[in-house]
Amino acid sequence: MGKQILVVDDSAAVRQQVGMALGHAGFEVVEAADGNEGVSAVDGNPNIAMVISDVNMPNMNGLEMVSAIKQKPSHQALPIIMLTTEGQPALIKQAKAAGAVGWIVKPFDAGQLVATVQKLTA
Amino acid sequence: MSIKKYLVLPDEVTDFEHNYLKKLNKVALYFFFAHIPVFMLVAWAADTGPLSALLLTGALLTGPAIAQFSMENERLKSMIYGFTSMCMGGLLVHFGQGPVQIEMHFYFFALLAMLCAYANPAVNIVAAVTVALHHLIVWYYLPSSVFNYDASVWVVLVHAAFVVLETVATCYISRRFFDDVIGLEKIVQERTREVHMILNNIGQGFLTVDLFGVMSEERSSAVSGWFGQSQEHQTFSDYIRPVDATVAEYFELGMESVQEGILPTEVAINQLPKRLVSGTTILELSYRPVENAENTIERVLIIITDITSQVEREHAEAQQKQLMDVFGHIMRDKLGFLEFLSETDHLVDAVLANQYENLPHLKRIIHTIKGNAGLFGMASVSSLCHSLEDKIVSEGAAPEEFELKNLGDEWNAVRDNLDNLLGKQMDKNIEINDEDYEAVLRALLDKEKPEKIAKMVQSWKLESTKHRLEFIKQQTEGLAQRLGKGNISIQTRPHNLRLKNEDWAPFWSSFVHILRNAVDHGIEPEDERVESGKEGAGQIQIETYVENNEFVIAVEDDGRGINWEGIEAMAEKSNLPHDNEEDLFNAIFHDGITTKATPTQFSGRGVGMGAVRSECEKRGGKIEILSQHGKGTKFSFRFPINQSVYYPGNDTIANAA
Repeated sequence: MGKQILVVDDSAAVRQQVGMALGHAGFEVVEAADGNEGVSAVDGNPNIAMVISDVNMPNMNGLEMVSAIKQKPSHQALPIIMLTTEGQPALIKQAKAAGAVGWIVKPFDAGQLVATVQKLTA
Repeated sequence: MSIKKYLVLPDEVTDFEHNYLKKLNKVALYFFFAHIPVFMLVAWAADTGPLSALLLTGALLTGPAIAQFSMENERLKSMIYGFTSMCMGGLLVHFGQGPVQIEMHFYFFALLAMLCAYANPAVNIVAAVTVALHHLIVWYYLPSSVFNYDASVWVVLVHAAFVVLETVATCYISRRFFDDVIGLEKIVQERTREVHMILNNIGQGFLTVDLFGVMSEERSSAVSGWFGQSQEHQTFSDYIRPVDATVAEYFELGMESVQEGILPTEVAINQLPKRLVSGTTILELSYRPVENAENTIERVLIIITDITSQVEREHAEAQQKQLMDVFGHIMRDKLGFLEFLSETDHLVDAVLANQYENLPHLKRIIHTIKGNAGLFGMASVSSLCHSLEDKIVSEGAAPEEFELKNLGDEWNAVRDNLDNLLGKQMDKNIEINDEDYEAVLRALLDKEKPEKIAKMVQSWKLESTKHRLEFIKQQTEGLAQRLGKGNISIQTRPHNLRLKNEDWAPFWSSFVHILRNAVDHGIEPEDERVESGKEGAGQIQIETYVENNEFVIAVEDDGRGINWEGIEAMAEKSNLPHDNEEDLFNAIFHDGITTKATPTQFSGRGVGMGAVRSECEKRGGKIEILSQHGKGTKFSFRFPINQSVYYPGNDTIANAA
């Protein structure tokens, strides 16, 4: 079985897009529609090797989610990258401060996303 | 190449050659001074006087020593060493008198060969001439200084032949050395100059930065044309900060990511900012990693391209296409189009003059412009509004002034194009149909009262709802196509009413939201409809009529009905009252309520319904909703009859003047 990657985005279209890209590369994708679902998914599934998350989401946004996940010592090593729109340096800074390791601008290139996930889960 | 050109080097002395000769001349001076003890030793062994060896050699070397410290021209100095070296050879042969004096001659030939290090045939020639003259003169006047036997002139000539032949070879070697090695510098310089010329004459900017973002000095002149002079060791982000601080900061973060190496390099590089706007110039930034031999990234090459004209051209093409679309709409419905123009003029003006009450109001205005522009084929205006709306939603704040101004500029550009295209044909004409014409004709023949006939004619200036409903029908059908809802069957029943256009135009333009909702939310997809026993094509009926002394506008669809649970959930989430039917009714018309997950370009942000309600209430109207789960929804707008409404038999004909 491939490694499990959690994709958190309120847009089903984006989740599907990410899922397809990673699925073809042999990863298993777990989906969550907002930050709350993301946190529960990570807490309840120790097999998740990496998180890819949107920033703007209802209920709990991506930044809050990263902080919530990173509060737990067991998730310190879990790599999280953010999907953002271009040109939002303030947001990226917050995300990095919260514990995300990087970001990818939407619309993303499927090959580059796969390369990133491969590198971070290697 | 002539022999002279071959033997004489080109005038220009590159820095590289100058430095090389300078070093070599210095070495030569030390080298020859080091000969003094050797010569004294030879003189002692051959009993030719070590002291005179010291004095003579010392005297000879004062010349090059003075030259070394007083002359600038290194080539000239090297010729002096060509001369000096042969004199040194002569001294060795002189002091080496005895059984091995002939063998001392070897040194001449060794020195002649060594002189090739100067890469200058002239040095070889000077040396050859020196040794030839030396031999001839000394052989004649002081033969013992050259030969240890009584040599004939033939012997001297054999020596000379050696020198001449060796000199031919050394000249060749020196020249090749110059052309292939020393002169390369000049070729490199020329190429560099050419490269610079190219770099400085193309529109693109090239520069490299190290992983900390610090720029190299080498860059094309276009870069400083855009951003001015840079300071030494300045980072690219500091350099562009005055132009756009956000992009600068974004670049800095991006380089940090490249440097950290957590993401794959190409991915990290791909996140760097791609566009920078400086005044009216639009610059596109692209990046290439510069790797070292171990394939690790060392620097990043930044390529900056001015894409202003490209963007302008694409924009112009898009406008052209848009104009064609718009023209189609004008052909179909001129009156509606004129109305749209004037209404949107007002809305755009309101946005530009900050004439909005609060953020939801601004959002609603922009939403209305978006919807209308979309319906009339003005894709550029519509997509601009879409991104403004996005921004309002995601940031919860009004867009920047310049962003709103962009919308104004775009709108004006489209308008200017239209005015050019249409000229003054846009003036309003009165359109009458056969029915109206017949009615007036009959009234005249029947000798009806002139007042009545006057009112009939007056009513022509009012817009017939037949016309209006037909127009809305077309709009809605177009919308259904674009939303992929397939064909929708729309019936209109205008009942020969007429309305004063100026009074009703704002209502109609908000009214389309109702139809948008019906098409986008109400009507189910075809397969779902067929499954639940309905006709494949959605049915919508739009009606205007008079009932109980009220003017009614009604829309009925046979879709899935209003999702009251969804409305309730949304109301709860938005902290709106949701306890009874009235609360839910109000929630429908509250901005921000939508049961749709992804907003489209046409509907689904929950704005629009608020506008319909407010337009309705402005005219003293009230709204009724009849909705049955799975069966459909009917919206009725009921207005008191007033001057702006005309229907046959109505004596209160509007004062249309």
